[in-house]
Amino acid sequence: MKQTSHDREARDAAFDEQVRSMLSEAAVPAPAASETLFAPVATKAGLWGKLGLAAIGGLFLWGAFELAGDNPSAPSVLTPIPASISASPSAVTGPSGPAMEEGMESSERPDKDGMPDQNAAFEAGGEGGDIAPSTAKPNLAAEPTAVLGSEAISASGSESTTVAAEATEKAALSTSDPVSGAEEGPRADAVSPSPDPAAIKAEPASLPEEPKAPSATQDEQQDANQPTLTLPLTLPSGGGH
Amino acid sequence: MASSQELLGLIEGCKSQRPSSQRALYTRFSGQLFATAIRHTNAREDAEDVLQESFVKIFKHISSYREDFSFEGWMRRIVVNTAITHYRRNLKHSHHHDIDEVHATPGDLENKNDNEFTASELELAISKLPLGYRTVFCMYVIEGYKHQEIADKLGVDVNTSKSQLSRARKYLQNVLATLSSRAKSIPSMGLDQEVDTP
Repeated sequence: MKQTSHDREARDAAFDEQVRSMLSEAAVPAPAASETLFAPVATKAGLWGKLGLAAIGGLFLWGAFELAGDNPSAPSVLTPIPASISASPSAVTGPSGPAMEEGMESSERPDKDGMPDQNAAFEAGGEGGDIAPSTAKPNLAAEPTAVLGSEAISASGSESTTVAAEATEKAALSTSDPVSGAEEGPRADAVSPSPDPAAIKAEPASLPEEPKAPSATQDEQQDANQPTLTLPLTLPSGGGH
Repeated sequence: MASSQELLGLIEGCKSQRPSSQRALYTRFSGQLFATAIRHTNAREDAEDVLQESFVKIFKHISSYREDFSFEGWMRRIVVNTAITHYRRNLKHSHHHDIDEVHATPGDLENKNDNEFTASELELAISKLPLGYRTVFCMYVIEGYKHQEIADKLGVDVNTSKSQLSRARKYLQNVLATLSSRAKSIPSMGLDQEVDTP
């Protein structure tokens, strides 16, 4: 039996139609769906929401930390001191009370090493017991900067500065009669009111108000000593210039 | 059969990512889509994977469905595309059977008008086709793809698609005609032997 191509195409089309009609609506019992199939996008959205909230919270905390950190960082801009000044024995008003006490305690060892240099400076200036004008002069000249530099000194915690401060303090205490040279007159006033050690210790305690030093106990002591400390801040700067 | 309004409600619920609507949609269409997945895979396990993956895509992209088209057709296309992806992914690991290996019975043309076969017999005969032929046949005959679309999706030439369709159809006509003529007398006539014999 011969078959033309037209007949073949017609037969194929009929077969295709029959297959389509039989199978297009066919169904097979499907397996049960897993619970993870349903609403997966909502789960992802919830995850992203949580991540977003965490990110916002992190940014908020970071911003708060930055704002809190701006206050202590502001004075530090004003305090950079040349190394020569910060290392000079001008730190009569050096670190704050507790910081100075700690520094003195910690500098007991290097104190012995640092003293020869100081003694050498004294010897170069004149007699060891007396403070020659040339020796006292750097102290007074550096005093205004020491008001600002005290923070850097206390913050850096350099032992040499602490030793220098101690040496200068001892020298100032050892001179029973304040230096009353004609040219250092007004500046000596800043030093002269502190012949007794208590006054010296109380005086620098006021200065570290600016730096807001690291320890909490230091802040408490600053607050306690704050009323007595305003004068040294103003006097040296006015007298120095 | 649920009304079209009910179906639209299901679709809207799925667009809102409502799990109850998604469950209802799965319950309603999973059997039909699973049959489609079975036709385009070699094993039931593969069909289950394709079905699950297809429903993930359906729920994910249902917002892009336009109501101008048939929703069932849209879902079936997703299933077919997923099955094709699955097939191509596993192509390296599958043994390729050629339809020339099938021993066709004589007299297929004589039985051309005697297509008295059931849907299950048709499903069984289709399942015995090599996967490449089966995919082309199902895409063209059942899903309504054109040869160019089939060639693009399968990465084959258009003429290859046409030739595979022709040979698959001829094989099925032969087998089903033989079934319809002899099934009552020889019910155990094995499609397995005919198709799988190397």
